[in-house]
Amino acid sequence: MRDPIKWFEEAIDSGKYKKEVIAKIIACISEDRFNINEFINWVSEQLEKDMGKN
Amino acid sequence: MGEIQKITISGFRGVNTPPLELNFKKGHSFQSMMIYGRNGSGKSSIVDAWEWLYSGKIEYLSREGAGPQAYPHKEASEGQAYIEVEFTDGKIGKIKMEYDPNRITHPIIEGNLPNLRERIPHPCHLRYRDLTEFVYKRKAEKYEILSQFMGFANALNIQNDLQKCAGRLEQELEILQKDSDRLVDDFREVSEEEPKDIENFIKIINTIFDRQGIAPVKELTEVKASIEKLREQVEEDEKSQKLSLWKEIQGIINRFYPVGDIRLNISEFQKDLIAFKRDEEEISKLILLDLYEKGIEALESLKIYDKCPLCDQPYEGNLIEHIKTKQGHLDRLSKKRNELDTKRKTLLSSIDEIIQKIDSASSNLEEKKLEPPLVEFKENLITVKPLLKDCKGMLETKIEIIDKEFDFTTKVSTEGYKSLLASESEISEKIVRQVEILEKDESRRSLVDDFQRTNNLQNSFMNWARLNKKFETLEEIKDDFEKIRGDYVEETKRGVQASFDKISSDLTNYFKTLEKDCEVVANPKIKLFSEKDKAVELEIIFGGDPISPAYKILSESQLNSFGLSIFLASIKNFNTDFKFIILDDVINSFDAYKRPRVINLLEEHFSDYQILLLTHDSIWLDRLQRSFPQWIRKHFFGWDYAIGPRIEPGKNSYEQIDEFLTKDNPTEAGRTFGVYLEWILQLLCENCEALMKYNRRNEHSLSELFQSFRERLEKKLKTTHSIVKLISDFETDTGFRNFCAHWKDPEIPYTSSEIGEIVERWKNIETKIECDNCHKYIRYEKVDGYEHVFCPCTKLNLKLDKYYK
Repeated sequence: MRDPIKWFEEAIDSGKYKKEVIAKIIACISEDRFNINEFINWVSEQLEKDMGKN
Repeated sequence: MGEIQKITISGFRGVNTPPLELNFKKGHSFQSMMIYGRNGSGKSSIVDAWEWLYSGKIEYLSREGAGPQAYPHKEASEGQAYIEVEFTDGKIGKIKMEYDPNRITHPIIEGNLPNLRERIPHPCHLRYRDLTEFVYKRKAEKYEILSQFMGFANALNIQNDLQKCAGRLEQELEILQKDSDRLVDDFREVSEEEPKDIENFIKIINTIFDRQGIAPVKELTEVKASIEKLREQVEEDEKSQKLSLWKEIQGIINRFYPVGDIRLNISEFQKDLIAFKRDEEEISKLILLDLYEKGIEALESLKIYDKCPLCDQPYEGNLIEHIKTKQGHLDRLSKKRNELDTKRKTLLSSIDEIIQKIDSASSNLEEKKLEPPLVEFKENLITVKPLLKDCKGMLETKIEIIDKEFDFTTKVSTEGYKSLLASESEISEKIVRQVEILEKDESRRSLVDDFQRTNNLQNSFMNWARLNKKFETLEEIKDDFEKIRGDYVEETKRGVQASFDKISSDLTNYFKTLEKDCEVVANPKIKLFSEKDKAVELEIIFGGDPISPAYKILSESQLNSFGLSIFLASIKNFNTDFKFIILDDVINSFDAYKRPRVINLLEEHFSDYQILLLTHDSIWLDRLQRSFPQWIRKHFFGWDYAIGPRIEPGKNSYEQIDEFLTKDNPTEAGRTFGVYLEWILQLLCENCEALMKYNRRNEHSLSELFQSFRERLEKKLKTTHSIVKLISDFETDTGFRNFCAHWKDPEIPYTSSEIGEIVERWKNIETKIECDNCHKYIRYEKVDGYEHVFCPCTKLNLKLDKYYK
């Protein structure tokens, strides 16, 4: 647990979570921080993408 | 053992120059060190300097508002304020941190300080004042501190960020929800039901299409075209067209009226103009006004009153008065002219405004099919306009130029102008009536309303459907995110709890050692609150029940035990690569009977640590020396402003007594021995469970203590025991009896040899009741029904036969 990235990487393979969400969480982690704005921007993109499909 | 070879402090806090050197080398090894010194002797400067090296600041000073400028000694010059530490580990080597007076928050560093700080995750120094600080911190702060020490800082940062992000996602959902609610309201306002799905929407909108004779739609994509059809119907509807026309005319008329009635003003102007023009001859002289004024000025300045200054012709009478009379007449005429000109301008502005309104109304009504009285209204506009334009043209010229024969009054007295002014209410009423009739028309209203309904329904449904899709997607992402976050937090908590349990185990052991006689208080724990993400509280079992927070029931002394136990357990668990501890007067807060337990704690659990112990308690120092004979001893015997602490090798009580006797100072020798003997007898009475005569002061004299100790040994070892005999002989000795009665009274003189003899006889007894292996005194214990008088390691056993021979 002392290496957070490791937990997320193991979690992605566990199949318990939606892959794209956990993959994005991992992408937003650098060193000891999680980039909130980057994740929120990604969420907005997902919503707009859905609208496009609509 | 050994982490540190030498600490050198110069020009820092209470230490000036020459530098204070603490050399930990003893023989071929590096040892722990104890420093004894009274309060104010400069001991704490050592901890201050260490804290500065460790963290770059001195926290307690910061809290008091004292920054780095308070760190150097007042007399220290540039380059003289520093701490230098030499480590036994070659990878760290030597580190020097020097105070820079030019950049007080950026000390000059020599050596690999970051490497050292990395190896000391938990502060290794503890002051008396810091002892209970952790206990009183808030739950979340405790969690943060402990988790960071345990190497969970990164995991915690990410946990905090994920929590904030979850909050942001929740906010986004709330915004979408509000927008959706608004659209639901819009939809309900038209249809009286909430939007559900496409099928339901088509059903609702088809009822409207059906009402207006438009074929029902089957697909969502057909809705737009059908609404267009409805729009065409509205546009083709005769009544709607009429209503639209009347509303347009209403706007034109509302912009035209009110229109100014200028008839009275123009008639007055005409009259004034004619009167003004009567003095036509004088009007032409108005240009002389300036000349008169200059002439008066010239005459007054020349003081000539009876002849013309230009032609020198004599004048009978006063020439200035004459000119002033002429000037006065023209002044009145000029005033009249100006008043008339003001009226001209006002009239011009009013006529201009009316002409603009006529132009605008005429152009807007041009193509419209009109009914009376609007037909007449339009004709009047046409006839009035050229007459007003004539007036405007004339008024645009100067008063002097306006033709006095021009008939303004007739131009605005026409029937057309009168009719324009009078027909406002008739026209407005007609329009309102027409609009009302058309608006009330059921067939038209139903058609227009239905068109608007379909339009509104379509807009609100489509936007609602889009928003709903967004909401669902966001909710899905948020649910996934929360699940991941929740599991991650749980995993972190599990890791943190496992580490807490590890500390808790040490914490329990240490607390038990310090509080072994208090049976109602037990099992201190660092407890992680599972219902919250980040909260830690200290729990203790009190009378069998868990109490949290523990400080609710703990006494001050027990809190100190708790605080010291946490500190030492943290050091043990977190500073695994750095076994060095500084304890500054921490035993101060413990009752005298608990102080030996601190020693026990250090002996049992920290024998592999290098300790720098600072104390002002001489008795405790004696006990320390007995337990740790290999430790280096220092004595800060005074403090000098210019130098700092005055140092000499530390001495135990016997060494001090010897020194006093050598200097033939029996009073101080006796006093030192009295204090020492009192303490040692208290300890022996406690160890042997001696019975003491009760007194409310809870104080016992030397003879009372000695008597109880002797009686206890006589009971358990019998009077035939060789050591009991020695003790009895010592007590009955006249010298000791006198000493017991008078050692606190400086008026009673003793000789050095008298004190020396008493001390030597006691020393002889002491060597027989103290173990040379564990350095502990004898104690009484009953094990499995057998009574023992032995030391903790049992090497010294006074029940052996040899003591009875």
